[in-house]
Amino acid sequence: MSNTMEYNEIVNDIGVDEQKTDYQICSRCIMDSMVPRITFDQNGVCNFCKLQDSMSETFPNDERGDKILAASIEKIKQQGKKGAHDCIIGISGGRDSSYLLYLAKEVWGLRPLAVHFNDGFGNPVAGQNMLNVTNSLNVELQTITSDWRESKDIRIAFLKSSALNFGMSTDIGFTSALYGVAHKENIKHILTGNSFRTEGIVPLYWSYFDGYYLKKIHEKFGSTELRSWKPDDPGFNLDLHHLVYYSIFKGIRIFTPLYYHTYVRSTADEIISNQLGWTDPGAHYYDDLYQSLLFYLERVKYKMDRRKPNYSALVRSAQMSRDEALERIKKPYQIEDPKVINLCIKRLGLSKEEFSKYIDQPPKYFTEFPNRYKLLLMAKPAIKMLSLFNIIPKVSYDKYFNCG
Amino acid sequence: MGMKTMFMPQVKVGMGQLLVEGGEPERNLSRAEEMIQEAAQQHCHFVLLPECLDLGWTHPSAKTDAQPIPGPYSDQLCESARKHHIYVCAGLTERTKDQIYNSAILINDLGEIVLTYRKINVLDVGLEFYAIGQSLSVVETPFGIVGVNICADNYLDSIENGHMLARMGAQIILSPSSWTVDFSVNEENPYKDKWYKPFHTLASLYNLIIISATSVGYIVGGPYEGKKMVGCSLAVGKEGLMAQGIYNEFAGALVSTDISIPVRRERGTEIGQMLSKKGYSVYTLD
Repeated sequence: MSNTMEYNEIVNDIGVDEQKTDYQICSRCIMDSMVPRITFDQNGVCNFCKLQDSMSETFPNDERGDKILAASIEKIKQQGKKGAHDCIIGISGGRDSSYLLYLAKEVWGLRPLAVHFNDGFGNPVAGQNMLNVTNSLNVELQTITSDWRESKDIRIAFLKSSALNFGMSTDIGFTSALYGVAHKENIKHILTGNSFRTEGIVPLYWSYFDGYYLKKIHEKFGSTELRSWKPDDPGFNLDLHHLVYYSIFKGIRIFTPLYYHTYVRSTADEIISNQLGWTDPGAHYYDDLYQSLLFYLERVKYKMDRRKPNYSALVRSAQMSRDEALERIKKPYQIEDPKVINLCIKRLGLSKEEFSKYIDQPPKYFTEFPNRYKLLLMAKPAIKMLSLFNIIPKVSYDKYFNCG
Repeated sequence: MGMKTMFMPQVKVGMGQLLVEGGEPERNLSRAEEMIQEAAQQHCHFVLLPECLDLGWTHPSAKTDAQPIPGPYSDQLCESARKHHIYVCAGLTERTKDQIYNSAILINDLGEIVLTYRKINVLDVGLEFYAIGQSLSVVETPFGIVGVNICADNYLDSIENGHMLARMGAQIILSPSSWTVDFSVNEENPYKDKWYKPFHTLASLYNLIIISATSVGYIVGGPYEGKKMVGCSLAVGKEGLMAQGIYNEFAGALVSTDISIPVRRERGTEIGQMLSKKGYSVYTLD
């Protein structure tokens, strides 16, 4: 299929039509036909289940995974032996990153520098967790703080644009901050706490990540100018050429060790609570208060529920029963706390009327705005090669081309 | 009179670096209560909390959500002080009949407000929110004579405020604060000697202790958007630094320290004579 045809197919099939009469739910997980570009085989199993199976082969968490993990850790140690730190770990105070920091320091013997990105919506419980965890592990913590005027303006711009992915600015800012610190401190490896086995595989429409798209939304709907990119201080600038600079020219690699590790949330909870003074912020994703507003908006305006991929992953990994997952998603997610949603609206300086107006606008998707996706499609073979050789995260190819 | 009163020679002080979220009084006061409880559990005799801990310093909600003193926010702190038998000094945004003030209260361990102070050296960016206070005062406590001022009252160019509290006999000056730095600042000693210098000037001239607890958090509204509060609270005596809070911008922390209450021998014009002997002249402020 040509790149243009492929792009058009994606544009024309966002798959969130409520009027669909052919509603179907995966026979294995809880992904359903409300999920963009989902397909089912003759047994009713969805393409996301198959992708997780395939990723489980690519990223095994058995003896093969142990070997890959051990070799990767050894490489990180060797490459970082001259510096004060051999890797950077992005932390948020949530479970995954706290547990990863524990594994890195206590189990794998790495010398991590913890980096946190603060853009004004951190959950105070998660903040306390970061202090407790880094103090307990005796790990240095650097916080990169965004300019609130910028982060607020970007969030409002996304609301005005009606584009989904209005939480992307935190992901862009966080990733930029990690690259910026790695560049400044001359550290070649960044470890992240993602795990497809517990977090799930999120459809492209829901998780589209593109610094150019953010910039264009902000240019059109924002009211201030973003600070320009500096390698040590990238701010919210993370276009493809910046990624090329960090990953290819500077050789900074992103590694997801939990892909090779049998990560059981309940075990992680026990370890980090008992040994590091970690407290559950109340729900997954709740290290960031803005997630309250995101979940609410996603459900009400875009008819989507990010718990579906999340719980589906737990179902596939036998960490949650399918019945329990189905029962849970019957009710809105508990982090949709009206008090916290109001806090978010107020913190952005919006009135409730303004916010309601943004909700009422018709939903839009990344394909309706300038973006880099066509370019990525053209570079598909190159991206495959780069991810095969670990020059960019191995999962990048699947994220952009196999997630619906 | 002050010198004849008996006071505890040694006390444990809690410097409460509270996380303050702009415009979120319920959440902020709830954390303040937890910190008061924590200070009591650590056997502190008093705990000092930051400036405008209810609404955040210069947060626009000051204009609409400020409460009287006594009022619901001060009542909450008084109840907590009473419950945990501890003195509490805290900054609140005060609404009167026709003004709003950046105020501080000292609450005794029975939960009674024994001193209310309204900030005098209001920053230019704060003038749209807060009226200027019109008096200074000190109060006798079991740990000596305590004076209260607020944050920028201790600027070097406003040091007269501290001199006056010292002249009134203050052995301890408590100063709820909301020290700010630019969002990009990321260093352990963010203020250099901006606060230490006036604190030490007063402490060494008068043999008193000056303690300031500052908030932590991100400023999300008002003229100082884009700045943050990063802790590093200070306790300074005549010999220099006595205690310092940790650097942090997203999590509160209580720092407790034991201090010996300094004995102030001079009163009235004796103070001028003492200063003169030390070579201090009002005409050379720094």
